[in-house]
Amino acid sequence: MTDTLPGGSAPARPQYVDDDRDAPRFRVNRRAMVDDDVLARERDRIFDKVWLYIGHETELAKPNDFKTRTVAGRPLIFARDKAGQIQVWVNSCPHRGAMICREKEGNARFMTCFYHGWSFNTSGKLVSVPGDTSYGRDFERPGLAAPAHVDSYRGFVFVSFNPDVEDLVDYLAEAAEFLDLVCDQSESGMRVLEGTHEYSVKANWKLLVENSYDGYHAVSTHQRYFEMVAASGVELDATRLGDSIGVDLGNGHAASVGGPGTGGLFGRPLSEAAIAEKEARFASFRTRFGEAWVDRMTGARNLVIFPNLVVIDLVMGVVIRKIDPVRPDYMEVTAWELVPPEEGDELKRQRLDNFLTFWGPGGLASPDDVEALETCQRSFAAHRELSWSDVSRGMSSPVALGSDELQMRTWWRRWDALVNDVEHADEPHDPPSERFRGRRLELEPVETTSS
Amino acid sequence: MDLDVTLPRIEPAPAVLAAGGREHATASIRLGGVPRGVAVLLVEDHDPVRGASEPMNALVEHGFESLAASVAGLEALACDRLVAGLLEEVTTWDWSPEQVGLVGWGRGGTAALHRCATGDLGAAVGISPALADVREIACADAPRSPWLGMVGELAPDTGLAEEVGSLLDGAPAFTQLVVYPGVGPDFHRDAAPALVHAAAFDCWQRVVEWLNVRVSPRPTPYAELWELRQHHSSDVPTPEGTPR
Repeated sequence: MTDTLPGGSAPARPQYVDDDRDAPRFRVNRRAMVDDDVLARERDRIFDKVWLYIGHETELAKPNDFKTRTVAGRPLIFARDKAGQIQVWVNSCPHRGAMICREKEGNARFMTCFYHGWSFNTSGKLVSVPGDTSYGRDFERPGLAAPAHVDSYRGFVFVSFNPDVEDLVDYLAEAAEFLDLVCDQSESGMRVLEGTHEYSVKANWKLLVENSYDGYHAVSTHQRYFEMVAASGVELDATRLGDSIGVDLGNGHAASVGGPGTGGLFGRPLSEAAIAEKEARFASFRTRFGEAWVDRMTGARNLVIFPNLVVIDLVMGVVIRKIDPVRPDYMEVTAWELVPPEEGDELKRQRLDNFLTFWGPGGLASPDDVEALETCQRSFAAHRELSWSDVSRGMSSPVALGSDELQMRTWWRRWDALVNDVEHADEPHDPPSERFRGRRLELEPVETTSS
Repeated sequence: MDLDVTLPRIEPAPAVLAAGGREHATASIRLGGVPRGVAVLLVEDHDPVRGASEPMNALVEHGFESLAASVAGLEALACDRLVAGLLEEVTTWDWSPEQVGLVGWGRGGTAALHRCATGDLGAAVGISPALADVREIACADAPRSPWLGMVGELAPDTGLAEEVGSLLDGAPAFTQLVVYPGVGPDFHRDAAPALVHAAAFDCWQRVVEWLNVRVSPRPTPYAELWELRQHHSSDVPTPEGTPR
């Protein structure tokens, strides 16, 4: 590990990412997973600088609905104001700091700080100060503080604390197309269902980022899930697991992408009626968006939007996952299920069943992952003796597969650029085949908004 | 509803209000200073002073002035006219609709829901309304102002609760329907049985919270000055009577 710059004139930051194109070999230093200083730099150079997911517009159905969320360590109020506009406020009274809203969710036009009684509306305006004559007539009445920017893409709402952040669509780069592939699965607009998975993991947050699009671990880590699926009567074609690629989507975003039809792999058996309903819905999408696009829609995808938003369209459901670092060895995870509201009861039931039994913190998959990540973290206590984790898989392949590790390398290169000012060149691979590149056609009008 | 603490009691002032071609007895409590808001109460008792005195005093604790009238014996249209008259009356007290919380018992609760169709009220509450009436109103005029309904499980038409709840969920405004288990339509009249006492207590808590987070507070003179300064960044003359 390099601790000084050549010439020894000034202390340099340690090398965290070893991106050796000649070998080729890609390694990540495990100190990045245990060091308080690294987390402080991540907060300062990533979480304070880029766009971060806060929630989905459909979680706020009515005027004055609100949720309280933590983003980049900051307590925020995610609200729809009286006029129906999405607003995000810092959940702290500008008077003396107490949290204005101590509930997780609700509906209120006015929120009153319980400490001294100052009241604010969902538009962030201070509307009432008890005994305000004591402040004098010229008192500048502060409203609620807000992140520098709030924007949304097809219902996904992001905030940034960086006044100079680039436009959201530019930031999303090619990841926007992958959100389109998810959002196009409903004629009336995909909706987040009520009910949230919240759990914590005693591991560094970056381990779950890696895990979220790691196709390599599936068969070994989730063996018992596959056994359960096989036992349920589903014909499991293991060769389909290999029908996937890894793609770099720019700005540190990446995805593991399955070929057409892989989205339903490993799901529960469906009745003839449910299969017919699903096919009919996708047939209508084909009329609207074209065959090639809908073929892509039917594929699985594990998407990570840098740094901490995961959208997984797999096992008959769409999961939105937000990963929040708390300490170097502790993260909090929140997950929601995104659904097409027009779907029939059986398909919805299967989605919910999968959300619970596959993705849930007490399900058949997430606990396996948590166990794997927590053992990683415990072993990192020996990071001085065993300093590097290998993330090289597929580095020399013409086409990176979903079970390769291009996705993680993409993320880590962006991480290294932001945290350590170390730039890395893109990793050369052949372009994906045509069936992974089909474009969306506007054969029939469809409502898509980016506000 | 019994107050837990003995506080000085304000006797509501009786008056008569002409509305919809007839005269209605009313009761009012006006407050000094800068009241939080105003509550318009629609009670079932023929005498609003007797029927509304207790909730009016309870609302005073939260800074609400109030004006009450009886809906006893009134048909739906007459109720609507009474509501219009009461709201007009409180505008003469310098309250705008978004600073009004409309709270009705029984038929008054459905009248409050009906008034929500215009979308300008701060908040409305129906205590023990007939759910068949609620369903009819919700079908015809989806509420555009937030409405809270509370009913007893043993009331005659509580079987409609699920259907009514779904209807209200589809409304543009936030609504909530609470069903209190094991109590009848009179649950709001506090009584010794534990379930009734619990329902009455919870019901009143909900009324107050519903109004507090939705009824727009009246700005103080200094707050109005601040508003003026926001709209006109140049020097603004001090309005007459503004405290310094």
